[in-house]
Amino acid sequence: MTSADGASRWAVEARGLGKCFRRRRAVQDFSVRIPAGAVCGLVGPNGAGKSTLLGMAARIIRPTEGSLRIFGSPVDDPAGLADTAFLAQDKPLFPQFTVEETLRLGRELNPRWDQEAAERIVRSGKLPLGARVGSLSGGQRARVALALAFGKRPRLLLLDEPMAELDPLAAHEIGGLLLAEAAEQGTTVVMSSHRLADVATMCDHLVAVAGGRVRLAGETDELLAAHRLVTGVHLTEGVPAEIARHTVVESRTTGRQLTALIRPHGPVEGDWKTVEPSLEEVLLGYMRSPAAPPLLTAAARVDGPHDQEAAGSHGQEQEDEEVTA
Amino acid sequence: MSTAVRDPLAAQTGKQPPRILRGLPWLVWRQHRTAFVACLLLTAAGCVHMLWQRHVTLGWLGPARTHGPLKLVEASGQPYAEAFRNGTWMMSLVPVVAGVLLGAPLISGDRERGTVQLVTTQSVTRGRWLAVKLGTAALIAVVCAAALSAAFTSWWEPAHDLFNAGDWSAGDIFDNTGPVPVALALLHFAVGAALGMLLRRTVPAMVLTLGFSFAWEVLAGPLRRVFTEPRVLVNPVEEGQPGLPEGAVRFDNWTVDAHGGLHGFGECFNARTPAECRAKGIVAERLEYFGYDQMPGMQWTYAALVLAAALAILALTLWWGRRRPL
Repeated sequence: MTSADGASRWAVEARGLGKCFRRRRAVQDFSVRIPAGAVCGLVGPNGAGKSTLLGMAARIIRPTEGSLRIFGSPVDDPAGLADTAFLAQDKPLFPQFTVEETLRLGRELNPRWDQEAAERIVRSGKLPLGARVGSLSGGQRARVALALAFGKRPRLLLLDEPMAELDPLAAHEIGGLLLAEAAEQGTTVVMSSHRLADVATMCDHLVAVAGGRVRLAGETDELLAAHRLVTGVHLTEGVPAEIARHTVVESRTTGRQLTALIRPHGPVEGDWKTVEPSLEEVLLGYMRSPAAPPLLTAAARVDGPHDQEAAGSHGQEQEDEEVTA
Repeated sequence: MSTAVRDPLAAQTGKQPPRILRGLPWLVWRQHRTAFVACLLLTAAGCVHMLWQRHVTLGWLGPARTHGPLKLVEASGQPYAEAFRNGTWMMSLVPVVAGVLLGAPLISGDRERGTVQLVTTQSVTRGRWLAVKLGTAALIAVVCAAALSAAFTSWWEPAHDLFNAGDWSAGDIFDNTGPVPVALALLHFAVGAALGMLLRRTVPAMVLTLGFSFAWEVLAGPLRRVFTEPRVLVNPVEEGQPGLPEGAVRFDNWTVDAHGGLHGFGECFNARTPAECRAKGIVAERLEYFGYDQMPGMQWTYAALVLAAALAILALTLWWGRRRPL
């Protein structure tokens, strides 16, 4: 999108990606792509594989299977080092360095270093440059870490739970800073979070993972538009036939009230109240029902017309067609 | 308010000093400068102390040598022997410091705090970062050990026949003079760095490195002599045991029969006269020793061996560190 050549339209392109730790499969059969320029939320329950995915994109974890491309080149290509910045969850910094020395670290180790941008981020938080990083509060350290990440002028910024340890005020401030800087520099952002509200307000793309597999991927608007929340009175056991002809992600009965999250195939017949669900309702629905078929929008699917062999299961393709239709 | 005032000032003063070091060397120096500067300062202090002791030693040594051997032994007794023992003790700490305080925390500290991720997600590869880090710290260890060894050797050498009763093959002298301290320091540093890399925890790495230095102390003794053939002196039994040449170190004593067969040193122990000894078939006394002029050869051989081991461990650490994540 930012570039004319097809290869770099996608900031991240994973095909059959997998990571097996000693006993645990953290990520498996993971195929998804994220367009350049997106602000993409990576959501999922604890242990879903979010950090592993980010670590693989940041070259900290080596994938055990599949391929991962960043802006069209393989992730292990050393030429791509300057393109990616990564902010780990615990935001490691050298505690004995001053803020200024931390920025100098960025300047010394990065060819495209932007001292002005980094200092702007630090100054907007009124941080003294001479202060030791170890003496800063969590929010201030997050700001310094973010300054280091943005000063690198990456094309892809990977953030692992950037707001996790921040108080609401600091989270709001850092979130705003993040979006403003990303918009200004045209950076693609992939951020993991289990705070769905953050994702809903900040991200235009979404990748939901559970059990190391992709459950939802694509533009937030399209994903929402593909779902309906239906409620109504229902007296018999099980899901009624007029609902079951659609793809039912999740259904729950409270007394005589049935609530179902569906992917409609055409209009819903019968006496049902139909609304577009909120992002949180969709995400929670998928988290609670691991058996529901995954949904990837056309933009997020890696099975392009030229390489059908990389496509997911047949059922998945069918689901995708429904979305694009 | 005070921060707002200090802020631009700090920014200005911070940019004043010239950038002598750039890139990774700057980072490594900045991160470990306390340890590096401490090592260099301790080395400087140690060198000054030992050069002063050399001056003192030369002060009593010259007059004492002119007054004959008795005066010499008397002079080397107290309190110079005490000062020299302290010197050997300090020198024996050099490899331990290089391993436990310099090597072990080098990589384990970064792994423990997660700063490995900070550095390797900048635009440098993990391999280059490790190479610069290991290289810089190893250079500091080598420079410090070499300076201390030179100072200590210059103190010991003029009185080599007196200090430690002239036994230079013992660890106190052999391991602390010439090229050996440098090699040992590098070996301990390499072991410490490798353990830190594998264990990811600083304190266990330091403890294990200390354990290694004890084990080395106990086990490596025989390695000092094993590659050098001792020289031999043979006397007829009538002349008694051959005298030890000047500055040499005794290796072994034998008795020899008429066919050239070697027998234990105690074979003639109860014989009062050489004739009684001859009656047992023993015709000669044999002394095996290492001459003082053999010492440099033995030290360089030993140092080369230790150095090869150290470099192998460093290379392995580097390879292992590069291999793991990308």
